[in-house]
Amino acid sequence: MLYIDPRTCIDCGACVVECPVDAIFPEAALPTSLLEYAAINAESTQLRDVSAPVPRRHVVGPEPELGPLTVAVIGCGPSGAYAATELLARGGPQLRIDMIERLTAPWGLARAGVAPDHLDTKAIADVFASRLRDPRVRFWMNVEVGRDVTLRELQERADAVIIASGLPKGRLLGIANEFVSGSHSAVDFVGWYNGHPDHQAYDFDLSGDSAVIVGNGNVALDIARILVADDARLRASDMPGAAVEHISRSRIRKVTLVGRRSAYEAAFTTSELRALGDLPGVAIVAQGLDVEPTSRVTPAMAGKRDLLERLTARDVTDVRRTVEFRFGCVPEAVVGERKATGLRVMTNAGLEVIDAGLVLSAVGSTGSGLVGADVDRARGTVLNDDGRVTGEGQRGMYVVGWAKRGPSGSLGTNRECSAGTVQHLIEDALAGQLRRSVKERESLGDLLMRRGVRVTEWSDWRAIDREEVRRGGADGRPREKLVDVQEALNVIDLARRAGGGQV
Amino acid sequence: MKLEPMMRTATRTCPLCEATCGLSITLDGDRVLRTAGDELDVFSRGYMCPKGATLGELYDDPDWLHGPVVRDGESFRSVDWDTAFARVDELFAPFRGRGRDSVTATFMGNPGAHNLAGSLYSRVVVRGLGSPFFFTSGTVDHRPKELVSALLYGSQQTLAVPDIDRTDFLVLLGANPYESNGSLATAPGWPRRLEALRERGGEVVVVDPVRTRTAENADWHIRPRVGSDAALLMSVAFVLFDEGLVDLKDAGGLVVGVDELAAIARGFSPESTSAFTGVSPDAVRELARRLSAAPRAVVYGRLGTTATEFGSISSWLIDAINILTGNLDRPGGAMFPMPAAGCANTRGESKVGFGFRPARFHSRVRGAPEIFGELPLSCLAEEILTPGAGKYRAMVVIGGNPVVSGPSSEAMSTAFASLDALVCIDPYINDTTRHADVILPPPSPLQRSHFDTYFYTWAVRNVANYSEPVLPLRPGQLDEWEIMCRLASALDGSGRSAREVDDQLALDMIAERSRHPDDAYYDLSPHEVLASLVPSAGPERLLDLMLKSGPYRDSSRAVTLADLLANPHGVDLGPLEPRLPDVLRTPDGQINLAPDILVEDVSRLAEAVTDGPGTGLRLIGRRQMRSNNSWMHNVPSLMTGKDRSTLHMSPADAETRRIDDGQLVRVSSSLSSVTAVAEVNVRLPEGVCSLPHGFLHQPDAVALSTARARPGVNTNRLTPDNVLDVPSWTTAFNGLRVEVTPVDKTPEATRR
Repeated sequence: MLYIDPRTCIDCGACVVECPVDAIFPEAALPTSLLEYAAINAESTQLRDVSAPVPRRHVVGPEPELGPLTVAVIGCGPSGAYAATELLARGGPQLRIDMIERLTAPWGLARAGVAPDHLDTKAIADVFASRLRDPRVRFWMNVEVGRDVTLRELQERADAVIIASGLPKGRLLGIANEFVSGSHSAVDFVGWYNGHPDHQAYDFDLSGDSAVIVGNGNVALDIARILVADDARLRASDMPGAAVEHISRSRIRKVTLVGRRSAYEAAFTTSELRALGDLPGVAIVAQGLDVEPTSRVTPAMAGKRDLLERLTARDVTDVRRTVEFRFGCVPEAVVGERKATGLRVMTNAGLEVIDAGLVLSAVGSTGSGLVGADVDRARGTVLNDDGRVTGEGQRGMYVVGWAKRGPSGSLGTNRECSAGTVQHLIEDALAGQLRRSVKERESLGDLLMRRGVRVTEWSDWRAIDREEVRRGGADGRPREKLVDVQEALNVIDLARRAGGGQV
Repeated sequence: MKLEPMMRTATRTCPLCEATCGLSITLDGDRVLRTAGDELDVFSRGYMCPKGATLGELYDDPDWLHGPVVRDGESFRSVDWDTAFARVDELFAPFRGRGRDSVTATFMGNPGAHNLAGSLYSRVVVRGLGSPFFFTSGTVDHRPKELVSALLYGSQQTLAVPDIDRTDFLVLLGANPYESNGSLATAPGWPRRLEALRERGGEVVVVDPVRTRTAENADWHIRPRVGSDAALLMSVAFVLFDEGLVDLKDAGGLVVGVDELAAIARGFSPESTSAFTGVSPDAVRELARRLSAAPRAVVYGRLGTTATEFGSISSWLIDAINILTGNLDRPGGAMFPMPAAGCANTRGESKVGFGFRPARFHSRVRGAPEIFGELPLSCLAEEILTPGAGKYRAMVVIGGNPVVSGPSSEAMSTAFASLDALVCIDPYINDTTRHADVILPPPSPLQRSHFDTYFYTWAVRNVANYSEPVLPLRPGQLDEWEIMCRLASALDGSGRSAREVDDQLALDMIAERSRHPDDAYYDLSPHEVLASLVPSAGPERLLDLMLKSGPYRDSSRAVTLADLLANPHGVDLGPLEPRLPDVLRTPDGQINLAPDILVEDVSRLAEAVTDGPGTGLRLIGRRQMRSNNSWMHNVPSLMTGKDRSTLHMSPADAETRRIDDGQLVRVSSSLSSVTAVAEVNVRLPEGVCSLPHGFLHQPDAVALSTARARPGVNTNRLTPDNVLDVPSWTTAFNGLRVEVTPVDKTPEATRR
């Protein structure tokens, strides 16, 4: 989280305009739901030395020496979008960026990872859309690297390639009976309720009265919040109607989050915990608050545990649902023969089974890898040296985002991460280290056309976007996502025929 | 952190805009560590904006010239000052002593008004050049307001300013002080003061087509069509007359022309102007009624009312409505400041003046009248480019960038490039100075002393605050007053020393204060007066002179330079006080509500109302807090963040034109076209789009490394030089007819 020091803030409001997700308010105008953030902000800034020198700022502009440069970016999620934004700021008029996207919709986890009820955070997509409407950018969507075009073929057609394909698969727990029906990866569950086309084939059984989530990071808390939220909250979100329908029929009354370590070391952020605490009719309970930390306790860690303790001490009237935090709790196995019935865990008190008809593992993501780049087998990341892909023949190959650094950090972390990689790319370009693409080769467009790939572009995405907003609006909802690729393609066809594809 | 021995904190007034905020600047040697608002400042009480935090950055700006440069082929060469002035002497020798037949001219930008030496010594440069042809940024800014003030009260300096600290009902037209910090009404912390107004139960009404941040914080936002303020205000006057709400109160005995104005307003009933203004008759009536019902009310207008086709009528009606509602010259209304250093309405015989006599000469090409001794900037390019006797061949530019800030930038740039000689006082090689033969750079703001001779003439409270320079000059730098005095001497070829020019200026100023028995120095020997002043030279001596001869001189509130030095946070002279009738300098000592020059323009307004609103898009400007006209674009901390040189347009207009947020668009006027990135913005009403001005004209040609990194588009490529407010010849930047079309799939295009 970013803080504004009330002791040095001059109350000019200039930051309000800059914030991409409308998260800045003057204290007097704080929405009721955010009132306590004034104190949190004041507290969090107190340790800073106000008498320290103000650091100097620098504005980077186009590199005059850069000349022609063609960059292919694989993946239009936040890390790819930030990489392109940075390239646009640094490159001159002869820069070309090819954004390659597997789906027919851009923005990756900003569209299908950020919780559907966090629409403010999703507004970052508007910023990406605005920045990437630059004529130097071309979108190649519905194009999968490895299926429609190889990494090598892209390398031959660009001076540099940036891998921004993220880590699309959930990490396994590696415990017994993990693949039994009713035990799933959080990546699939989140992808499903967020309308990601890859995760629509699941039929999640929400008929039991409890669910258990392994992990207590923000993804785990998002899922817990969605599972205990009331229908109104779901309907106000951009969750697909079918998922809203399914979850609103859920019988789950209790969600347990299982963490190995102490409450001090919980992976969630306090703001995410607060969002959970804000839900009406939801009790928060915890077991193992007294589990000893294994690392040195910082004020932030202590604050996290204190907040949880305060939330558990509240009197919640009309409890509809309960979220339980378990600490010092090591998963041993998923229980249940044909179908999950619970999770067996080891605690200080010995073995125990937590009953649950739904078991979700939210312990991070890993990659499926791209043929043509070496991958760290344990983490799934592309082997790299601060963003430069390492290995034989990888000159001109770069990586950003989760594929570079693993599944950590918030959406905004990608900005610095991508800027760092682009800095290396530009240094290499200026040093003449990039092998120039071969111009006489068959163009990417011709290649894809010859292979019969149905490339969709920016105007096609806009047609989808409009259609989603239209369908959602008819139901009083922010949008109704097109979760089926074929349906999305049909919408595109209609729009193209109507001649509305120029925008 | 403990203060190291080399660390110190300096107190000074921010010179960057009109707000006059006190700053508290912590330095280590000559390195500024941090800047805060000065909580002890008698006027600003700790308020500051992001611009104020950049004085250290300006001092360290690698592009700020530290010594003069002269043209050497296509580039510039550093020289010492003697060489630079010798070059000026040589360049201007062919053009001397021609009087009305001069082929030279001066342009003065507004930075001079923000700087003590600049404001006091510009006149010696103008006199040194010896040409009557003088241009300033006034005719692309607030000339209508000055014109009206001269017509009504007898001097262009006699502005009736809104007493925002005491009013109950404030109507703001075409002003966005949440971004601009306020203008023609100096008040550090405008937003705070507006909030205080509302907290004490008062109301703020914003009249602006755009939902600005100021409008967002108002009680009532009226959204007229762009450029229709004059008609809207006429209708307010109509209602005041029609419903018997006119009550001149104490000003009654001084005001003439009320019946003429009533007759004029009769032609503008709210019903008849509604289609043109887009404001319902009910809203107009309600506004007029509330204005007259409020115990203390005031109407105030800024650039959105002046730089338009009917700027003079709007400015006139603003003052007229304040008079008709009895709010002139009383607390909470529109009042006349009394600046400690004096101004035209504190000198000479009160209630008596020469009045206002425009058109004593005209421009050669278009026959534009001089007003206040100035020709309109819209005529400058043609005066340089049109062949014939009298064609300007040489110019002096004092702190200005007319290629960017004036109309018809392309013509202006061509004109400046074609001059035989151009000398500029400016720290930067920018879009104007790049055409110079000699550039004379002034010191950085932190190296200058400061006192606001201009802004205290329209401050909402009487205060006086002097700041000493915070940092010494670097080797090879020259104080601005010396630059100007030596330039004057080089221009007129007299060979006088800076000291001699300075002494002459001081004597002239003493003479100006000894003409009338009421004047401070009447009957005194000028040389004795000179000897009585504490500093022996420079702007401080002149300031001491102005203060000692100022309007407080015989009162308990008398201030001298020594008093100001002893009070680094300023001296508070109290809230504004009634000044009628003494403040007047009209020939008859009265306020004429229906001056001919304005009355004659009414038929043009009536025609526009009859013609109706018209269709299509209108372009207006956009004020941004982190910018200040064309000045601040080379300061890194003000240039971070989102692109600001974007075209805002309403969702409806974007939809019609199939334009997406972030898309590159072409904006075309009758004159030219530019490309910009579109930002679809719900703050704009249908039919209006906005672009901020001040960005670079030819990014590749200027030596401004940070500004070049984010060059933006120069909106004045679009502004024709013949769309004007007729009485004042002010360029109508707001309300320009444009069309906007998407630019797509043109790989050659860039995000400029």
